[in-house]
Order: sequence, then structure tokens, then C-alpha cells
Amino acid sequence: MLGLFVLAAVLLWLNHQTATRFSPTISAEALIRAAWLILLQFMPVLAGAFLGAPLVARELENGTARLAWTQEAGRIRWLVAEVVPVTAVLAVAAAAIGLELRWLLARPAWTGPGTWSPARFDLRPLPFAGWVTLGICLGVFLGAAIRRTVPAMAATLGCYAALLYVTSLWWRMHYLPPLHRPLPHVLVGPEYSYGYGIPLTSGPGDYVLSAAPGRPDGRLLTSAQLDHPASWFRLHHIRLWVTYQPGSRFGLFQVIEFGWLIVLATILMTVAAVLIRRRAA
Amino acid sequence: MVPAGSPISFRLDPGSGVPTYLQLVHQVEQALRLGYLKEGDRLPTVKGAVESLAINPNTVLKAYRELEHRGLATGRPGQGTFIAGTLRRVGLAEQAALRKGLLAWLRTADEAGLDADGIEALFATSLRDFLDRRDEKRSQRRGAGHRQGRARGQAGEVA
Amino acid sequence: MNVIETCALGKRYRRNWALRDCSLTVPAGHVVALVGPNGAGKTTLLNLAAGLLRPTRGQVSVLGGERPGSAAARSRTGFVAQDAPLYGHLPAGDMLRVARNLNLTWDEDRAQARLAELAIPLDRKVRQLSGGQRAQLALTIALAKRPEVLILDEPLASLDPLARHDFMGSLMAAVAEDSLSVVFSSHVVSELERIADYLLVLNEGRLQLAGEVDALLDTHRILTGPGGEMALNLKQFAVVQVRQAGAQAQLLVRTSSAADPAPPGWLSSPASLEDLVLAYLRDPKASVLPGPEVTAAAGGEAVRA
Repeated sequence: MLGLFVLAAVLLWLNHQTATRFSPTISAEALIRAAWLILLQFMPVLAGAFLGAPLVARELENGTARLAWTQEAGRIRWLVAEVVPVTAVLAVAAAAIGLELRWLLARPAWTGPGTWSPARFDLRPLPFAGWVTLGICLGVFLGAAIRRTVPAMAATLGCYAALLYVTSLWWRMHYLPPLHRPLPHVLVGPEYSYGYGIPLTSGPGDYVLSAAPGRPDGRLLTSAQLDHPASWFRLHHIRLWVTYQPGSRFGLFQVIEFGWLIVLATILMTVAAVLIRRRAA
Repeated sequence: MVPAGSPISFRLDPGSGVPTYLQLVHQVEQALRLGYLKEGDRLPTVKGAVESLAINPNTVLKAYRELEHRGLATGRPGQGTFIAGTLRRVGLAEQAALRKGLLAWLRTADEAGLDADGIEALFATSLRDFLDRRDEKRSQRRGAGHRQGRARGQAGEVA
Repeated sequence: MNVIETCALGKRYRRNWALRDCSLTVPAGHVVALVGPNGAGKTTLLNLAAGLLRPTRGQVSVLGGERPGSAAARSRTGFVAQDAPLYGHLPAGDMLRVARNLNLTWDEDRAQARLAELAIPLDRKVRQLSGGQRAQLALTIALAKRPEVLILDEPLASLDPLARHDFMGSLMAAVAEDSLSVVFSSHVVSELERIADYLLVLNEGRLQLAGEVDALLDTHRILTGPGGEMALNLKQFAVVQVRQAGAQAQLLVRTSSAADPAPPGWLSSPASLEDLVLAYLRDPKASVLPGPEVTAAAGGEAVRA
């Protein structure tokens, strides 16, 4: 697994070298880059399914748990010795790849989707390390709960995908309540109500969640009011209000994401430890 | 220093019905009679005997205790068990006389209609009864300390 | 000290009781054979003693009152589970190292010496070793922590006769060396007589027979005599088993002591351990458990030719 990580890092760097040397335009290299980013995103769940899930489940299936758990160290120390070093090494490797990516993505050749995009956000050092940790701990937990290797691997894939989906498409943007702000221009009519043709951000790195026309005091227009003529819009100083997360929160959100991932991973490991302590081998 | 290994090694006959510890005792006695063992020789260590025969160590200990009771061996702490005595040998003349008496008895048995198997069976049971009674008297004289082993021995021999 | 002590111990898997109402005391210093047919609850009892299972009912303690699976019990108990599970993908030497890392007490010299004596190649993967070598490796690991009691679940099941002999030989040598107590299960009765000095018989989840082998043999006789009604008139004995063949009957009886005389007309001969175990296994209602009382079933109902 660690080998895979190292390989990914090296290939990324090589890919970057060739990409900058040859063509900055949209090309095969750009596709390869996108593919790399997607592959890297699978790293945590692969670690969970192929390292975490079999860790306990395979021991139970093969009966070797009956060897390991009757030694002097006992079940909990055995679990810690199995999980912690692997997780620590992979989390550090993930953070290192995150740093490399941040450096690569700052280059013009790697400009792609915005900073807040799921692919970019998860691959920053802190969230990436957090997701790797969670992936492994989720696998260990499901392995201890299901006690069968293959079902535990499948469950790890499923649970991880669901969690990642919910997080990146919805929850992440609500770690803190989003801000509201009117864009400076007065709307000339309902045709611009949804922001077509108007630049939606004024601050760099902001992430806009939604936009709607509203009065200067922040009250949004009802659908009936949207039918008013352009003069009414001008008269009431109707502007486009955006709901957004400012770019300044980007770092904070990474810390928050890392934090809850680690907390969740710790909870899963605790439950796994209780299961392992309680249950038969 | 620990003396060199024992001149004999044990083997077992699982089908004989003789208790394992008595088989070991008999083998030591046999080796003494045949001259393979002499006074001062070391018997196999308990660990060695147990390892090669795959038997309970208590069995070997019991056999060695029995040999000590019979005055044939003595345990030296930390060193092992050593041959300490010899079996009384019967003189040739005495043997011949005994043989004569036995032959006379055999003729009587033959005339009474016993076949070879019958004679052997009768002899074997009589010998056992005799030895049992003799041992019983001896152990009564020695005290009650050795009862359990004897009871087991008797049980096996009849089988 | 008792190496295993249970009181009304029971274990249920969903609806089936694998073990019920099992009360026993196994004193230290014995080689204990746990015998019974497949599915009798032997593995359940041993796993309870090793702390791998928790009782549904009752109590179990090991080594003079320790809770099985507790740190104190783990450090003093060597356990080899059924089929001697080991990490098959590891070389034997690495397997040993893993086990060493899981124990505080570890006699590395002795473990290495044992493996060398057995000529087990340390660089060969565990799954490529023969069954006998794997069993010996598992035994080496269990012995290296210098346990006071060694619990072995069907250690001989998958071994050929030579490997069985060698395995038992080295186990007995360890017993001779360390004054170690051993509890092992087996469904093969014939090999036990030379090895075990204490017997536990489990049948259908219940304990049927418990006691020192010598004492059990001393108090059981085989009586051969006239069949028919006569067989039913031997009131002074607890009859465990009756076999009738025409005019002759063979009875396995329990006596109060080895000295009990046979009734007139009957020939008394000693029972072998195998006779004894098989007779009890055939009649699950008969039982002999420690204590002065004679279980009623052993006396009355067993007589049913």
C-alpha cells in the first residue's frame, strides 16, 4: 500500500515534468492528470478495504485470532500494534502527497477545477491524511463487526463512498454557516435573477453555494415579485445576494474536516476494540 | 558432571496388556539378567525416556520408584537414576533341580488331560496369583505407602 | 491449585447448548485428556478455559482463580487451538518473532533450540511445512512463554502416526522438564492410556466422567459370567454396561474399590481405559463425577440388556 502511495507520488511528479515541458493546452496530459487525481482519491478507500477490513476479519476467518488473542499481550494491545503503525505511516505518506499536490497544483499547467472542488479539497495534506486514517479505521471496524473478509471489504467500499459523497457534495460547505452578501450591481431585471452574466464572486477563492435576488436589507424576493418589471427592480435596489463560503475559510475547513475524520476514526476504533474484547474468537 | 548416557533404551509393547511402568521395570530387570546393565550404570533420564516413548512422565517415575523399592536402582538428585543392585542369580545345579520338579509336574498335568495351551494358561495364572500374594505380603510389611501402584499392576497383569 | 475449575458452566450458541451444567475441578500436575465424540463440547470447554469464549451460564476459572482471558491468565496459559492456527504466509522464523512480540515472557533460546532439534527450517513458509512440523511449531510457541498450564485442542487430529508419536513425545518431555500441567482434547481414545493420568469425558454437552485414570481403572471391572436373569441380580455393583451373547454376559461394573470380590460364578478382569470410555460414551446417562455420591442413572437404568 505504501508502495502504491510512493509510486503515485513519483508518477505524479514525472507526469508534471512532461506536462510542463510539452503542452500547456488541453491534451492527453490533462486527461492523465485528471485520471491521477481520481486515482489518488481512491487511495484512502483502497487502504480501508484492502488493509483495514482484512486486518481483523481475516484473523477471525483463518482462526489465527485464537493464536494472537491468547498471547500475553492480549486483544487490545494486539489491535493497537496492528492498526497504529500502518495507519500512521499511510497518513504521513498521504500528507506528503498532499503537499506535493499543493505544490504541483499551484503551477499554471495544473489549473483545473477551483480550489473548493471535491477533488482538490480532499487531496490537501490534512484532509487526505484524515481520509486515509478514516478509511483504515472504517475497514478495521467493519471487519471486527462483520467478521468475514470479503463482505467487510465490500461494506468498507460502500460506507466510505457514501460518507465521501455526503461530505463533499453537501456537508463540507456547511461546516460553518455560509455568509450572505449582495453583489455590487443593481439588477436591471429578472433575467439576471440567477446571476447569468454576472461574476458571482468578488473575493478570490470564495465558494458560492447559491444566489438569489433580494432587497438591500437581505430579504429575498418571492416568486411573485420576480415578475415585476425592470424598473421595479431598479427602484427597490434589488441586487443579487449570494450565499457563499469565503476563501479565507479554506484552511479552517481543512482543519475541521481533518478534525471530525480523526474523531470519527477514533470512535470507530473504540467500538472495534469493544467488539474485539467482547466477542468470541 | 552428568555421566554419559544410559546403556539401555526402553521400548513398549502396546498389545501386551502389561502396565507401561511394569514393562519398564521388567526391561531393566531383563537387562540386568542379561548383563547389559551393571551396578553404577545410569538409566535413561525421565525426559529422554518420555520423549522417545511418548508416555506420561509419571509412568517413568513410577517405574523408577518401583526399581528403587526392589532395591535395583537409586536416584541421585540432579543426576539421574542409577543401577544400585543386581538380581539374585540362581546357580546351575539349583536350576536343574527346579527343572526336574517342573517336568514331573508337567507329566502329571499331561496325564490329567491338559493340553499345551491349558498348561500354559494354568501356569501363567498360578504364577500371577503367587506373585500377587507374595507382593501383597511384602507391601504389607513395608506399609501402606505403595498400594495404588500395586493395584494398578495387578489389574494390568491379569489382562 | 486447580488448573481449571468450573461451576455449573454452560455455553449456548443461539438455540443449542454446546455445554451445560458442567462442574469440574482439575488439579494441577496432571496430563488431562478431554475425551468425547465430535460435537460433545470439547472445543467449547477449552475455548472457555482459554478465554476465547464467555460462558452463557456459570463460572470458569483457571490457575487457582484467574479469570480466563485476563492478563494474569494469559501470561500463565499456553493455548494451541484446533488445527494449530499459524500465519501461513510467514516464514517459520518470522512466525516465531511475531509470537515473541506478543509476549513478555519468552524463552527465545529454548524455542530456537527446539526448532533446531526438530529440524524445522526457519526460512520456510509456515504453510509449506508438514502438518507435524506445524503442530510442533505451534507447540514451541506455546511453550516458549513458559506456561503453567498448556491447553491443546485436538493436537493430534491431523497428524500421521509418526508425527503423533513425536508430538506427544516432545509434549511429554516438556511436561517432565517443567512440571507443566496439560489439558488436551481428543476423540481418539486408544492412544490416551499411556499419556493421560486424568480423564474428562464429555458427551452431548455434559460432563460424564472425571477423575484420575488410576482411580477410574481401579474402580471398574469387567465381569464375565452366565447371561440371562443372572446378569440382573448383581445388586452390589453399579452396572455401567451389559453385553449379552447367548449364555454369556459381559458387564462393565463400578466397584467401591479394586479389592471387591467377584460374585460366585463370575470372572472378574480389569477394564482398560478404552473399555471404560467407550462404555460410558454409549450410555450418556451414566456418569461418574468426583464426590462420594453415586449417580442413580449409573446404577439402575443402565441395566438394559
